[in-house]
Amino acid sequence: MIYSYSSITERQTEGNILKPFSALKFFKENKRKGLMTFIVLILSICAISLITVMINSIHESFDVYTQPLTKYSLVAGSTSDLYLNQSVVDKLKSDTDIERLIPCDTDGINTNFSIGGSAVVGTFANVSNLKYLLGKFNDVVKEGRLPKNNTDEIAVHQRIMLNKNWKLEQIVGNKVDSKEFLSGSYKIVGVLDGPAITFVGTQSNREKQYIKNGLDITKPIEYAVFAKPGKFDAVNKTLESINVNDATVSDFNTIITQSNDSFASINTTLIGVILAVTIILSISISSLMYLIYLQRSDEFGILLAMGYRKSFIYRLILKEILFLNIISWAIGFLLAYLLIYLLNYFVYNPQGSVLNFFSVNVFENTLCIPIVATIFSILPILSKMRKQDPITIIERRD
Amino acid sequence: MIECKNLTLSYKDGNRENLVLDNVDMQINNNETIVLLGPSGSGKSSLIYLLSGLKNPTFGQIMYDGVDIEKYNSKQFSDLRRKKFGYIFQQHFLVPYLKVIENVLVGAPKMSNTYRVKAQQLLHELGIDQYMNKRIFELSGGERQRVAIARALISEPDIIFADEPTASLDHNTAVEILKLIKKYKESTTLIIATHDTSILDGNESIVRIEHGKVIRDNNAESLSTLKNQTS
Ligand SMILES: Nc1ncnc2c1ncn2[C@@H]1O[C@H](COP(=O)(O)OP(=O)(O)OP(=O)(O)O)[C@@H](O)[C@H]1O
Ligand SMILES: [Mg+2]
Repeated sequence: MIYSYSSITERQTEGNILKPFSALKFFKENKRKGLMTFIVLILSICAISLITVMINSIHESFDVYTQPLTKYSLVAGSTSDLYLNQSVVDKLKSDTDIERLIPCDTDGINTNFSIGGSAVVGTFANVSNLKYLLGKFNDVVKEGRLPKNNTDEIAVHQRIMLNKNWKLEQIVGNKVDSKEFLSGSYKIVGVLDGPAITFVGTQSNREKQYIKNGLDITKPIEYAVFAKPGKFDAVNKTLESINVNDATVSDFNTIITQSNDSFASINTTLIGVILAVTIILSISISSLMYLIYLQRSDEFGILLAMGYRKSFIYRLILKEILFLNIISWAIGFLLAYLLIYLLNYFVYNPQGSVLNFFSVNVFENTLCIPIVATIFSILPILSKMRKQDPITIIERRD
Repeated sequence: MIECKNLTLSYKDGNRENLVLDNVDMQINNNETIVLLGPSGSGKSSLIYLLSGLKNPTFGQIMYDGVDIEKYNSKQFSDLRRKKFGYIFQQHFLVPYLKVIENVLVGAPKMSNTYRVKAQQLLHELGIDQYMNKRIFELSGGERQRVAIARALISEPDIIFADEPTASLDHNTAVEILKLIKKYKESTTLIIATHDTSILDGNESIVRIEHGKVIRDNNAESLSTLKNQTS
């Protein structure tokens, strides 16, 4: 063969036309055909991401609430008693695993971190003990100062301040705001910063009532128990063995066991939702894809006739569907990220809380959609293709 | 060279056998142009499918350059079809979402710059290089068939199988298209099935299929008598 025409310029063939078939080509050239699948995938991946982030956030707010309990444990008198049972006091004082027992009282501030609302625990003790306690918590006074002994002063973690929209020097408590969980009224004199979200004071409302009623406040009402290094679990075990009629123990384990049941049901619901969404979605995407590929029988028939191998066509179909899924997944994921970012910016951050987008389970929960959808889509198409030969397609004898 | 021996094809029609090709023996030399003639349903397409290996015979042998096609495994046979055979069907079977030039490249045995340049040259010679970056739906029937021809020619095949390549075209376009196919056949065997004898120019070998038997005659006179009969 002689080709007389050889002066064809590069300019005439813009773009990459070296490979007529590529993973992106079909859906790029047939946008309307893939659009439905594309949108449905994006929306469901976005929705699953958001749900997972929200549920993670409930877990996180629980973590925030329990954080101080990873450093100390609390032993209070049982509800009917004014003071801690003397036998309990003796037992704790003789325990060599305990580094320090701080006589204290505790109270809470109701906060609204992330999705799950929870009360943050605060400790009332004398200033030297507070310094020790904050040291153990790795918290510092960021602004203002620590409360003075025997005053209605408190220092509050900055995230609580943000969450409650409190200011330094403000008077807070249920005496000034009936919706407040914290009983009495206190003046905020300091702002704390650090990993433990808590607050500290020197004299609780209960202690004030005791004084008013002429009761002795040198006898311990409650103990904050700090274990020696490496003895945290051993001490907690000892505390948990105390009879419930003698004292009320709050430690990490008791809080965890109380909450595990509700978390388990949240998690099962989440898995159920993801499974249902994935399966319903995969079946509908699969039937959409089947129709699209049925319409392309001519194309595959002629390719087979021309000597393309079936494995080439299988791979082409797999790549096309996989890419459609991966791109939808990436966009759905980005969209969810954007929404979380906006939610954080406008809603959560101003409250001193944050929705964390990046966690392994957001990834896992959404990734199963494109994977299952791809498998569901590819199988019926491949099984149909296996039975086809080029002549039946070309002659249309089906 | 293509040879077939005792080539037989029959379909089960209920409990009756429909014998389409009956012990066909034939030899087609390199660079020959064979025109398969016969009434509708006589088995022209069937013979093309058998000779090009797209369909298996009920019985008999097919050989390329002396090698029985049974000897090829499926990969080797796909390779043979991709590199050595060119196909043109009555319908163009172009890929609708690819550009004209991409459709031509579908016929290339591999992707390289050389084939891209060759595709451009073919489109130029077929007079449709201005449509290079257009989609198939923007072309007329004749233009589409030209693209299909370019696709069959790009691999410089040894044998071109054309099953009624001009059936959907008007007479003048059909004659022109046939000319184009023949223009490239200097080093190519051409096997073409058609109803329409008016488009032939007398340089072809005529093979008539009647009642499953193949009658071959090489002289041009028979074509003119044939032409006289049909017109
Ligand atoms: N898959 C099949 N099953 C049953 N019979 C078939 C099949 N394929 C072809 N035939 C029969 O074989 C015979 C030859 O068909 P073929 O398509 O080869 O004819 P043809 O000469 O190409 O006809 P036309 O000119 O109309 O295209 C016909 O009688 C047809 O009905
Ligand atoms: Mg036919």
